[in-house]
Amino acid sequence: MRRWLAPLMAGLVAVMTGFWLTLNWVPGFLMAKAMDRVETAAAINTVWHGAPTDETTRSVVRPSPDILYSVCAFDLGEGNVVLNVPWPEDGSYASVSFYDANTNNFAVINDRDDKAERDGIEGTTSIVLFHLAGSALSIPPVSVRDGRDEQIASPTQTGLALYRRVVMGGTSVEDADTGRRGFSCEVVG
Amino acid sequence: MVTRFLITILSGLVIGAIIALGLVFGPTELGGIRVGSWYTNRHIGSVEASPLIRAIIARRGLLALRQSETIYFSADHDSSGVRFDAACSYRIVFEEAPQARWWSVTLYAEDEYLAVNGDAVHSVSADHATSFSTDGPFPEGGFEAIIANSQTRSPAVWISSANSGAFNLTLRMYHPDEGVIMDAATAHLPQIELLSCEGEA
Repeated sequence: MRRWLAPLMAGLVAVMTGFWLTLNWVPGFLMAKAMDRVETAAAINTVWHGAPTDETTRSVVRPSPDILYSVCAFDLGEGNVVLNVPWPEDGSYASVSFYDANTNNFAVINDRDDKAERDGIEGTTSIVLFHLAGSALSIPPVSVRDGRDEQIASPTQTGLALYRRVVMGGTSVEDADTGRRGFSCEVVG
Repeated sequence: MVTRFLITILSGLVIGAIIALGLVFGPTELGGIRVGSWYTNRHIGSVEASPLIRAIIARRGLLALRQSETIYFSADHDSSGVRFDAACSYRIVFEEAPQARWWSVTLYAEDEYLAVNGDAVHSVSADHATSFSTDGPFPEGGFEAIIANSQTRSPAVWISSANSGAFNLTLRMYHPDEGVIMDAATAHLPQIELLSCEGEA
């Protein structure tokens, strides 16, 4: 029995290691699957405007039937990405949220805190998204804004930018759908 | 000796992975704050989430927003603690409106997607409450909704549970009030009362 003591202790450490490795692997795996689904509908660094959510929607679990979704699967290895985000004119909630390759929601901008509104400019906010890995995130980056309203650093090279537009009040789905199609993303040099 | 180490280490890695997958893909609750039938976890959408919470959220609520933007409450039991069942009907009673810019309650089937039933009534929202409260029995903002697998005669808003099995509900609060962000337990959440089940006299 004593001959097994050390191997069993090693096995116990292996259980904890396997547990920890698997937990850290799952989010990246599920995110990669979600990105694959988006990329089958639209190329990387372009926007896919999802159809209004109904019972056939299967792109992401627990979709809301009251929200229109548009998504940009980004890869900053090709350069910075510029997003143009339209805000509803009827006062409905809208936001663009950014998720890294491990599913972390590292930034979000909504219709009430966008710079365009603060500056009295209605309509659209332009955002430059760039890659700043690891510890470099804590260092104030040089400006890559180049005339755009906001700049956001992504902790991973790939991820998703998700635009949500709630269909509130008397606004029709058709009108809301027309408005959210102003959401765009593209690589800049 | 080397063989023993190989056996235990490989077995340990596999066992650890199986336990982790069982927790993530099994019926494990997120933990956190519980208010009546409803529960939430303040780490949803947060970069501070533990690896276990992050993995569970990735499976059950991928691409969720952080709490300052949206608070998500879930429920899979009625007010008496019995698991939801599509063979039964329920009444959702809001005595006060959830403290948020906008809110909705959506029914999801067992597979975490909208139920495939052709009814196209999967949710109720603040928009319904505004119109219902003008001549309803509740204070401003309060109203009722009925969950049933076929439309009832009730004037309350209907959410269809047809073909949803052991369904669950998600309540979204967009731009919640500061007090709710600080303490989600203070949220005004609806009661979910069992009305009847098929086959009952």
